[in-house]
Amino acid sequence: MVAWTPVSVPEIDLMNKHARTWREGALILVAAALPGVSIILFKSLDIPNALFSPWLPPGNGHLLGTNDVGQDIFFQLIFAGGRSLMVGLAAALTATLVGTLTGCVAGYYRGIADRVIMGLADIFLLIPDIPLVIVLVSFFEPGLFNVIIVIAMTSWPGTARVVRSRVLKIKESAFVLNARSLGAGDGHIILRHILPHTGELILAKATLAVASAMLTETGISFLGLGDPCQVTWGSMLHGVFAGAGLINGYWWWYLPPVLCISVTVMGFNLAGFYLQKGWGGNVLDDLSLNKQGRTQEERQADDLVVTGIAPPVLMKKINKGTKILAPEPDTRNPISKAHNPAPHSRPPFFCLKRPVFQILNLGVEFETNQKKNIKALDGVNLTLENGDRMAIIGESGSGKSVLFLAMLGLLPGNARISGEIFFKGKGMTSFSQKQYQHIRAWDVAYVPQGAGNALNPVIKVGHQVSERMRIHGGICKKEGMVMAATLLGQTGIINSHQRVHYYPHQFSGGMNQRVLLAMALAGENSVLLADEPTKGLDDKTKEDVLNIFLKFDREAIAVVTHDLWFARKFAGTIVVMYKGIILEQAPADSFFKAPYHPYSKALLNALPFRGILNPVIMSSHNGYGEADFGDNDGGNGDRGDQKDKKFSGGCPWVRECEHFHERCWHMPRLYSHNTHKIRCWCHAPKN
Amino acid sequence: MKHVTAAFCQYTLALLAVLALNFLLIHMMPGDPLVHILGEEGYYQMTRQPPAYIEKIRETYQLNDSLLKQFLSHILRALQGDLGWSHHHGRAVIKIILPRMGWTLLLLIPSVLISTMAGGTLGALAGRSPRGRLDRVLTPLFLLIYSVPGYCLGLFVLILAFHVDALPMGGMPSGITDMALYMMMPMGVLILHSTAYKYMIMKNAVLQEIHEAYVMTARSKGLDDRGILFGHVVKNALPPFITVVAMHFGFMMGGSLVVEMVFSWQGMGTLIYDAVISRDYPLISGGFVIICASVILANALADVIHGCLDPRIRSGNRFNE
Repeated sequence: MVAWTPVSVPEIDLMNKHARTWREGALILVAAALPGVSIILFKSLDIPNALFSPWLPPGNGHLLGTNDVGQDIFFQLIFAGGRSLMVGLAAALTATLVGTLTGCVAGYYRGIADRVIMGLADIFLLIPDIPLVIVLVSFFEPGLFNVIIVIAMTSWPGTARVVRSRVLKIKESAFVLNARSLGAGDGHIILRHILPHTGELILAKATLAVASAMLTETGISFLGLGDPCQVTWGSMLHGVFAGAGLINGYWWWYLPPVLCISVTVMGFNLAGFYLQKGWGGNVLDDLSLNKQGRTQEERQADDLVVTGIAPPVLMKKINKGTKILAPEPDTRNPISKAHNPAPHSRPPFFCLKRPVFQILNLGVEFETNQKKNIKALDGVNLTLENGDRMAIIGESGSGKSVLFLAMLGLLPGNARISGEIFFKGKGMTSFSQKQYQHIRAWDVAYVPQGAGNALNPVIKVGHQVSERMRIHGGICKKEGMVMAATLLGQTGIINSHQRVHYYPHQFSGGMNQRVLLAMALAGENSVLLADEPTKGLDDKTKEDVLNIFLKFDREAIAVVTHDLWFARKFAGTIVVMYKGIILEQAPADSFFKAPYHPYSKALLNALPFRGILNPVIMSSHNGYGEADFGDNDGGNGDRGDQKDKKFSGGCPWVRECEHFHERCWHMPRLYSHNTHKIRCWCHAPKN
Repeated sequence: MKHVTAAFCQYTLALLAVLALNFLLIHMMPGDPLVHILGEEGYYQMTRQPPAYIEKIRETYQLNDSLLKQFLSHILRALQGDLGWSHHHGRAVIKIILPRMGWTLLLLIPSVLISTMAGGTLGALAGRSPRGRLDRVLTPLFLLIYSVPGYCLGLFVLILAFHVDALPMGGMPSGITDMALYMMMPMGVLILHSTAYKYMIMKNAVLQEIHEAYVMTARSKGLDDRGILFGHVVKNALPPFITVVAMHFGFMMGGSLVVEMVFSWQGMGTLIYDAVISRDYPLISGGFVIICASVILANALADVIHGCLDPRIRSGNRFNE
């Protein structure tokens, strides 16, 4: 899971949830009360049994006309409806009770009880309900009670499975462990701690069970196998069918029950789906196939909305003319090139510095359900030139990954972008999806974070590695596999000709990381962006990965990393980010000798750092340079409304900084000092 | 291999459970078990015979043996395909059922295949862009169809056909040529109803998958939305989808029994209905066993397909809970 996913505010969410549950609960209660009331009412009036003349059309004193024996259809409909609902509710209630009980026992106690119950549930899930009802009803005497029992029998396993998987999750949560450590008994834990947290799920399941029970009941009654003495919607339809009401066009006879069944079933289905968070929410839950830990925001995916257009003046800053001076790398024959990687990271033909990526005043905000937006990037100015080897370092959540995603046009739908990114002179924020796809296919390769999830689990690694060239380069699957084998070999996977046929789960984390690197190599793209390529790897593998990176001969490479050792060994330029703001940018040698910004110093002290002395003592700087970007105030512009809240407008490091000064409540600019660019008042010009 | 063995055991157990239920119904019900073995018609024929003949019949059905022995021979006979004798039809139950089952499967299997493809594709497309145009049109529509019982849908279609007068109102085809005409309506109803359900399932599965990290990887390779959807997301959503489709097969089987009644299709539905009306117990329970067996078989088949589609199951380390 990516780190920048916006989080919802739990309290408000919970309140909404409760309000929703109550509304649904009230609806269900009303539905439950209806049949009882209608039965009592009409039983006392004895209306359904009164006979009038047959086949009367609607009107004539009968709201919906009469049927073949002259019963009033409207009253019959209400009376039958009460009974259909009662059957549905009773069956659902029984199934839910049994399912909840067995699910709780299976999930809480595990062991043999779990196996037996789940085995039984699996078997019951396999038996189709309508045939079972038919058989049982034919062996026993037909009656609604038997129908209720049989429907309950076939529908408890679904509830049991869902409840079990939820109980398994809750059982491991901190508050249950807490209660147990306080000496609470099993019964207390189940009743007071586990059941309240499954309530919503059980309610949803029960609501859906009512719908399916009613469907089964009406089906059986429609066949004429229900209770012949008790009229339900299904048996009304049976009467129509048997009494040739269809052929004779007595629409008032068959239409009302059909509509009633459909509307009622749909009502319960809708309520159930709604309770399961959007319809279709967790239908897969009863197969325990759903993945865990997703927030509502992640389920939503809107179209990418991009705001903010580059000011026309900025366009002039990029010198398009230099483009022809540097030869383009040969993209046509990836295999031949892959055989001869350049020995060092600085290819000789990039003698002229020209910007590949130019990021101007980039801001990214994530919209959340609440009004409060989460600011991921703020006024970022960064230039990636050809030949650059850049490492972006900083804490988790400092916006490094978001920066890469913005450069690739991969930000999720709820991201709002301001500022501009130029790729080789073209403003990217106004790109169409097609243009972004072209850039990602041909120009910018990306090594995603998290080797475990970043690969598709059901596709062979070889196909995944060569996919870019298969789709964009027009090579066939076989050639792709050969190419993938070569690339995987280059990234240090031995026996790669066999291993291209492996699936990601057959590889270790380090090997998957190599696969991701090979995937980025496959495109022969000019720019490489790598997101934490050494995350979760052991030291030996890290060295291997570093060596692969040093062999890369791309125009420009930028790496996001926590690993200072890797950054030191690999990068020519270090960029320090904190809370979405660039605090320092400096050549690596100088940076690791003596960082200027107080945060950089703290960072170097805090982050893992193998075999390199930590520069703890602050060296004194006396010279002051010019501000690098004259127009950098723009970053403060959209913070204007927050100026009264001092902290959010000031230096992000203000709370921890040892050189704190009153002016730190205002955001400093990015000042140039020697080869460093530092966003700190300590390095501001003295006037 | 472990997974295969476990699945095989589960399906065998399920089949045994069905047979046991069948046995229980025959022998544990109050009254003479012979009623349930012979059917009401056969029983009344028998009661007119001399007592020695009745005793002989009791002997042939081993009713004087212990229950356990009877149970074992019941299962053995069922496994050999001997599901009893229908006195109503005057033929062995299995011989009556098999051709009827063929007619039912003729309706059911194409419906399952078509609805799986249609529901899967539409669901995937709708899941790709939630609240998109396709989603906004199809989701309410399919929710409506899903909530209308299959036979109600059938009734509507029937009324429509009655007024349009283009298709036969029901019954059986007399040859290959008019097969399509007769099959169109019942199959259409089955397809429509189960497409609605499968659409929901696939949409949901795709919605869950679309936020996985590998989708980002695929996007970073410059793939377009369609390539990502069908090349990556659907490949992952397919195995659980297939499982749900298989579980839905039982539901569809039950639904088709009722839909057959609407269109007087001479399959299992009408057969079992007639058997219930004439109290032909061996035919009822035999039909139930065959239906359950076919549902179990479909699920086993789905498990095999699931294993083929998901390499993690093939190497047996998927279930890590």
